[in-house]
Amino acid sequence: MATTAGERRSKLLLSVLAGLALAYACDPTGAGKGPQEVEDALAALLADVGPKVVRPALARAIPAAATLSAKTAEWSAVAADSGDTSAARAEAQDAWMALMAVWQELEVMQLGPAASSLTAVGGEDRRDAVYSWPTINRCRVDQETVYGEWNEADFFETRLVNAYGLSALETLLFAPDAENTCPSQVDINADGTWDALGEAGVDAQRAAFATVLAEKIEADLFALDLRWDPAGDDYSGALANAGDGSSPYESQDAALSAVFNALFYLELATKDQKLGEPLGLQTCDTTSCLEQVETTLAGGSDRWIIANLQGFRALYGGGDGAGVDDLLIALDHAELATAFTDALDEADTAAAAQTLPIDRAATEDLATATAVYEAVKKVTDLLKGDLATTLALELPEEGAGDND
Amino acid sequence: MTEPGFGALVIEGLVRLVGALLSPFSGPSERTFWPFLGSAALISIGIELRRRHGRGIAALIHAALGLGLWAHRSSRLDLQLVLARVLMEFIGLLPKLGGGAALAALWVRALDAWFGRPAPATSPEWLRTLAYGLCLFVAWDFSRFIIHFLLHRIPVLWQFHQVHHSAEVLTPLTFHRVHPVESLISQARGALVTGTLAGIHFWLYRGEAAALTILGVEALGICFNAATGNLRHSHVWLGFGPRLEGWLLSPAQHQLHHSADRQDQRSNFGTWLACWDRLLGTLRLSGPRPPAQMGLGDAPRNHEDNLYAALVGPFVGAARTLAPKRGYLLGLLATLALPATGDAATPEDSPPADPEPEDEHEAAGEILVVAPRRLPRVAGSAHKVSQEELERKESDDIHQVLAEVPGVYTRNEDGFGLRPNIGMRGGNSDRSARIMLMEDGLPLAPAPYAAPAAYTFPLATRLVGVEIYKGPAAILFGPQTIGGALNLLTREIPEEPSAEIDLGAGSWSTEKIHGWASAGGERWGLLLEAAHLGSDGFKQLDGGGNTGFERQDLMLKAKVGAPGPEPWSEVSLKLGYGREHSNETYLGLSLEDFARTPYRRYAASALDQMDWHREQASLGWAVDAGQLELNSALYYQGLQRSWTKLNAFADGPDLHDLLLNPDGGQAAVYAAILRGDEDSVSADQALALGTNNRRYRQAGLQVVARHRGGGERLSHQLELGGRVHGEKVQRRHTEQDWWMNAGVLVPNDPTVRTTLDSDTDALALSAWMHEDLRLGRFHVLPGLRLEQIRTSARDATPGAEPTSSAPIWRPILLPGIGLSVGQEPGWQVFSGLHRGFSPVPPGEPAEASPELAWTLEAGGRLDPGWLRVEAVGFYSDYDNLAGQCTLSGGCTDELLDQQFSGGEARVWGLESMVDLELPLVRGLTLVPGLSYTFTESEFLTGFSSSFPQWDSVAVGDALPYVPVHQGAASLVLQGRRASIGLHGTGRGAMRDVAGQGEIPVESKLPGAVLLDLSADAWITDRARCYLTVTNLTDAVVLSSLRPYGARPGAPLHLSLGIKAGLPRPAL
Repeated sequence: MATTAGERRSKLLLSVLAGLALAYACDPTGAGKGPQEVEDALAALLADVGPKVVRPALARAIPAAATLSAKTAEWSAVAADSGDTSAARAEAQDAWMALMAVWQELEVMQLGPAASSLTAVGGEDRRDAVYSWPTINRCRVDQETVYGEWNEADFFETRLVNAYGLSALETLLFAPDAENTCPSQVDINADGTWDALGEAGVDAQRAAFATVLAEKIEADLFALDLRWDPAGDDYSGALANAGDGSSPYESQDAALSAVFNALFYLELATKDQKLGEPLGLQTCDTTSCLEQVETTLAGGSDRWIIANLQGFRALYGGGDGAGVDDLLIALDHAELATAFTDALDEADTAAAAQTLPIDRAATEDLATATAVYEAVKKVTDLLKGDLATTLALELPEEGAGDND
Repeated sequence: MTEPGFGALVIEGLVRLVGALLSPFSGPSERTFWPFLGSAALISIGIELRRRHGRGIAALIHAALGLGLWAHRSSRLDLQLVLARVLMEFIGLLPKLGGGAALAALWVRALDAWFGRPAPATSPEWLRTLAYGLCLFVAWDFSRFIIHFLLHRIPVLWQFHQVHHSAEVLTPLTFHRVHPVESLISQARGALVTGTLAGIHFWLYRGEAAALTILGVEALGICFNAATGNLRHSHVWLGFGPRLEGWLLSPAQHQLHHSADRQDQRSNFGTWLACWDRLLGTLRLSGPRPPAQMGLGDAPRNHEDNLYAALVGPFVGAARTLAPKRGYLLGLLATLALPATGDAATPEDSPPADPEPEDEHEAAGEILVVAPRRLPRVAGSAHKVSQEELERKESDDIHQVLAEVPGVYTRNEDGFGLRPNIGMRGGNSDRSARIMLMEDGLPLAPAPYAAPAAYTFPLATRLVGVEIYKGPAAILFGPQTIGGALNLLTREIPEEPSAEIDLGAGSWSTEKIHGWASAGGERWGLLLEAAHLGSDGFKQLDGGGNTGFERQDLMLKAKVGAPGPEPWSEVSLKLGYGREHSNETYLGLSLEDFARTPYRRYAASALDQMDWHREQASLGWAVDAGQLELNSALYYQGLQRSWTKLNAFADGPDLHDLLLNPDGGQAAVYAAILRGDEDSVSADQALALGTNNRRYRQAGLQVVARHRGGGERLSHQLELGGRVHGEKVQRRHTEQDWWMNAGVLVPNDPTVRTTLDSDTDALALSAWMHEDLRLGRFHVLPGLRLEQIRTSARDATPGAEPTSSAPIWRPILLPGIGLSVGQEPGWQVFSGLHRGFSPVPPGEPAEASPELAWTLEAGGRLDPGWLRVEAVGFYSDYDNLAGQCTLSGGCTDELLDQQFSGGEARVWGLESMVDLELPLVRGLTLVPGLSYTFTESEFLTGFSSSFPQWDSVAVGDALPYVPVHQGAASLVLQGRRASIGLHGTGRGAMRDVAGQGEIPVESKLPGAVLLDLSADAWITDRARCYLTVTNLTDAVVLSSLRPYGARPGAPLHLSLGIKAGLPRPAL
């Protein structure tokens, strides 16, 4: 369904673009750019998403994942030798944080293989395999820690995403003690198997499990990059060649809609889920919104906002290539491009001033966090309002009519 | 803004109606304005006092007011005519011409153009006012004189004016005793004169002077009316004396004009001034005594003193006048005047008895008749599933009942037929919202205008017939007129006391107890019927549990009649109660799970259940006066329903999308929660269980009059109907979060959120006519329906901006015509064209378009008695195809009952059927039957829509849920004491979403073929046992992908039963 919703937006966009192109072609003053220029800007935007935006981010994420993999392996090795694991674990934690900082940029680039198969053209759910937040289940991770079945060949095929990925790793790496998070009736508590592990056993199991998970993340990131690699599956080409029949996108405009849907991460996740709801600035659908804050064990949720903004800026601006801003200029809306840049700068500044994780900021420094929210909102207001109006884009259903 | 309540709506409608009925007496521009009547009464009393010769006060009042005259049959017709005219104006059948304002404006523009604007007037204003008032008075009086004169002198106009002159006694109401055609002529005259004079006056003075008025009415006219106007039509003989009568016409002079004497009738054509008659030599003075007789005397008249004759007779008379000789036109129109006597009813076209009246009356109940295996007498194709066929199948599911009717699409989403989806001729079958549902001719859907989606249905086991109307016949049964109408017939009170009990049991602990008993005789009757149907259900709930239902229906009918040769009348009362408790869900399965375990139900649906109860009441009054029948019914229906069911995750993927793709990433976690394999661990994974409480109420008054008559060569059957209908829908939807915990739903948060709090209502005034005019083998069947619909809506959902839409009136006129030629029994070729309509639901903006289509059908039947072959082609050309959101159709609360416009579209196809009766040996009869429906559909515009079943539509996309191919076959072996039948139904694949080309698997409902077996045998002369096996091959049928996931039809089901009570019918 969402696929067709995307197509719908694409058709609307197509008609708007066609209209704009015709208007420019007929513009006797020559004040606007020509239709060819618009087409070129659109083609360049799409062509640059893979090589200039997604792959550069992946290129930074993969080594970070490799580091994480190595550090968890070291932690596991120390744990297996019954040594003091605190240093090795701390290094692994640092590696996790480093990878997470890059990954939070990639969060905003959920289009194509990384995106949800439910809602996106070409979606393969690869993002969820790496990072499934907000779908996490720490008890499930604790259970798997006891079961120790991660070396079985079909382990990842038979587990849900809440049992692996960066969130599961967070549980393993940042658990404050050797206790588990499951209720007493859950098997690992009811049958005493958790307690039987003992503190050292828990640490060793966690380290071993973390190693497997880190390797999986590294492999997943590598595979994701291969999907984008022109020498591999060349999803970059699928975007660049949208509408040529071989691409999953039936038109360039469908591909452009995919880019816009990805940009909406800043509205739906960053602004609403990560800031507005936990800070109490928006009505939360549930009674425990603070629990929804990202990485409550590891902290760093403030940094992820900054990373999200960076990812947004990269996708919006096309990295060092052509982006939406160039398309806006070609469409004779340079003022809107400037407004975006200004708003993003302001959001970056506000986010940099935010030094507490969001859950703490909600109680200790609400004003600063609110400023971040407001600054991000300016960006998303442009996205939902001016840009959507300019390009006649239909909003994704979740984004329209919220309680801002 | 406070919205009017349900009662207020009905009251408003009634107030408008009463206001219209009283309008002849409530406006100072009316001759019979009540103060004028009062002044006339006072004058009468004064005159009587002068003549008093020792009589008492009562006698004096009686004489002065002419009380004895008001009960005269002539006065009754006066009253009927005024009521008829007012009602026709009220429902729009008789236009009310304006006062000539548009004409005046035209005059001003034209005079400006011709002569330029005149210089400002210098004369005094009082003079201009006086001159203008006098001009108006004189011009009106003169024009009335001219028209009146012409009404007498032009034969064709006299045919209409003689309605006024046929009054045998005069009362002030006789003033209104005019034929609608004359009324139109008078209005046109007034508009022409007033418009012209007002235009000239305005051109001259630019509005700087107006006519002198009293209460807004021109002063001279109102004075005359107040003084003696009402005495002109009265028994009070008031003359002005010879001198004055030469200038002003007295009441007595006008009464002279009403004399039965032809010479008197041709005098005194004026209203107030006598000069016009003097000029023409038609003035007669009143003299000392009134004429001996009023009316037409021995002169030929074209009508009797009844309303129908007075309305129709003049047309016949006019036709005779216009026709040079008795020809085709004469004959055609003469048939309309069947009760007429005199010169309109000649021996050869006087109405003998209708060849089929008894048969029709018996089967008719409250609506038009379609006798089984008889050619229907409606403008279009029609079918009837007879009681015999119903009993042969012994089906408790309406879908099976309708399976063999061509052109009807059904979709059984729950396997039991509890919430049927029935569509006709391409109309969306979702909740049967696009057809007109009726029970015994009265609306059945919870709210036919505001929310036609039918969540409840009468138990099929207690139905004794189902009538299906398609094509132009549908305009008899609005408001839904595109696809057609479905009328469910309940049991009539038998002539003799009788009773029957039906006990059945079957698979899945299905049980049926159904019985009825009646008492009474020729003059009264009583029937009590009760039915219970229950089952444990065929679906297996994760974690165990009942997936079945309990349904009960109770009906009480009573009647008191005054039988006799004629007139025959009957008052009837029907009370009904139904309830259901079912463990039904909207949650289906993923396609993968459906393929593996189609009858599984996920753990997340464990708490889903529907409860409803419905109350019905109708009070009917039927009169059969031979050629004229009158059926009226005051009705009420209330439905309270509450469906608790899984709506969504608190903050997760859409359930429909999720179940189409449940294996990837986070989606797999949510899918596992639905199955109970995974626990909810965060607030977004909570399961939002919604309780959708809705209350529907509707009430109305429906009146249908039928007139039939004619001879062997010519006959007609005219139906005129009207309905005042009000309805109100209240929706209170709430949600509460539950968590999945170890496969069991547990409450997570006691907070109950209100997700929808809205009221919508509709008030509808309907009028329709349908005529079946037969000339030999030819039938012409014109029809016309008028719907005047008022809707309003209020939404006070917490957290959303409260909205309240102002009431919007939407009128619509729906014409239709059918033509047929044939003979009964034998053959028939027919064709029909009509305007299809589906109303705009409340809450939509004023500019929203209703669903509109022109639908055409043409076909033929062959029916020599033992064989019936029928083929009908149909074509529906939609101006605007509408989609209405229901939860079952995949919409959310936010979109509930909203209408979406799909623009132009067309649907066309072919319906065909063959029925045979082949006598074999030893009383055995073989009854094979075949039906097939082919349907093609396409959108003619491309667009994007939030309506889930449309989504992104391209030109040429086919409509969803319309199978291209559909058919049924049956083979029944009927013996004297037993029968056995095999029934097969098949349909091609259907789309869940509009599209073209190959249907994608995620939106495809594959084709299905189902076989049912039925058998019965009489074990005594009053007891019969039966066996039914549905889905004999145990085929797995995917019946729905909406709203959430795949849901199956029922698997093989076997049931046995016994019926006892009624004697075995003779074959």
